Amino acid sequence: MPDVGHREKQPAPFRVGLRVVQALLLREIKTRFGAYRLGIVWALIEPVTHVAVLSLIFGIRSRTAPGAVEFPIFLATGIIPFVMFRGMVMRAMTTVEANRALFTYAQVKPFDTLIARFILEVIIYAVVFLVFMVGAGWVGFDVAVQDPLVVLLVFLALGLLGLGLGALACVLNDALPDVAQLVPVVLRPLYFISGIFFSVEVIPAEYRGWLLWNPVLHALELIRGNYFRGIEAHYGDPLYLGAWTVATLSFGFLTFHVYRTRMVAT
Amino acid sequence: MIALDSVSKWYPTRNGRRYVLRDVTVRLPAGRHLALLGANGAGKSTLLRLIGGIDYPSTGTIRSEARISWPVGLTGGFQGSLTGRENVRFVCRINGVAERAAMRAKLDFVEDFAGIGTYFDEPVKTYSAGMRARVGFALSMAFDFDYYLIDEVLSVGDQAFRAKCQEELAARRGRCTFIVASHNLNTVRQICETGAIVRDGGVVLYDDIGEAVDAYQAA
Repeated sequence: MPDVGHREKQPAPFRVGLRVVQALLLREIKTRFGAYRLGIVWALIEPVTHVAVLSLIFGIRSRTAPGAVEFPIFLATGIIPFVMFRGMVMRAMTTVEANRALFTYAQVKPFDTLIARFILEVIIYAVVFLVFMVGAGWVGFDVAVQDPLVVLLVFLALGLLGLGLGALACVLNDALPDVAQLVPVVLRPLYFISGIFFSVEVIPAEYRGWLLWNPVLHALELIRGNYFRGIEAHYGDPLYLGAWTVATLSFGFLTFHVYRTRMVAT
Repeated sequence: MIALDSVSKWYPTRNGRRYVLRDVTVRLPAGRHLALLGANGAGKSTLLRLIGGIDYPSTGTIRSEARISWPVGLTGGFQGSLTGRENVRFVCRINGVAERAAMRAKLDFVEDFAGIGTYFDEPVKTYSAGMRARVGFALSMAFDFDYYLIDEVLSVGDQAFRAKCQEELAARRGRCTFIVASHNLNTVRQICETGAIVRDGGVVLYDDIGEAVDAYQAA
């Protein structure tokens, strides 16, 4: 009888998880950007075209946003975090479906793929944000940032909100794929009511209350309030955003955890 | 040792649950090469997938401290847009082989064993089925597992490659345990010492492969 007892036992699950997330990250970067030479440029194109088109519609530099902020920069501080949020929901939703082949390797757990996608999404759009602002500043816009740390924090909270919702959407996509088709349909109008091209202040008081149910709106208000010296985030409530983030993340992860084997099992 | 306790696996169908395995409790000791015998659809592959931890039982538990391979020769885990080399790198990383020299050694081994030449650096989607199988087999041989799960693998590739696989498996006999699902009773007799018959949702262990094959043929 062969001696098989001398080999090391399986390492701790947490360490396995770490190395799997790392491997998945490298792999996602390769599959998403490897095919094109100008990887990050592709991630830049969407927000840049949105900013360009909307700026044209609203009349380029003639119009200024609240607080004497230049309109394209005002737009960018809304669009880039929003695109990140929407991308996060959609990427998380399809993560089990897209990585199904990888569950062939027992170490790869659905949760690992979720985390890898979150990290990648946040990093990509943080870089896009930075590159955009540096580029805009170089062209001559005023892109001075007041409180970068808080901006980053709100950006992260918005990403986590997307992750929680995306984890829920992922379970939905597995259990009821027909209903999951509605997720992008719901996300589309969110583009118009999340304050991408307006500030809550300009909304008449009777509608404002309704709009303020939307946590994404709070996130964008908070980002702008802390980015621009001239803008105060009167209506952006960090507690409200935080509560939504914690609630969706807990509920999303819990549901995901309960359904994790069912999503992988044949 | 791999311990299955009251393991059941069913699939929901229009007519209720269709059981593949029903309340299976067995111990699979290390060091005894095991053949899984059973008709098509009896649940051999399902059992292998459950043991390998890539599918989950509907009820019951499967426990093991050992390192268990994915079903050998399985090529579903490759991503088409990445090259063979990149796919191998990924498997190295998730198995904790991240250090340059160690990974280099694994890559060289797989490249050499698979013998598909410059295709190793082409996207996997350009491979033929045989080439995929070669890389798949080479990859599973690159790591030292306690248990190798082998699902009809010896039907992989051409004559020469099959001989090479047999040789490699023979060289490893003393270091690990094979669990082989196969219809080829001759191969099974050569490789395995014990046998198990998977039938009607149950698993019956036989201490001697000869006995198992006889019982299987008698039924």
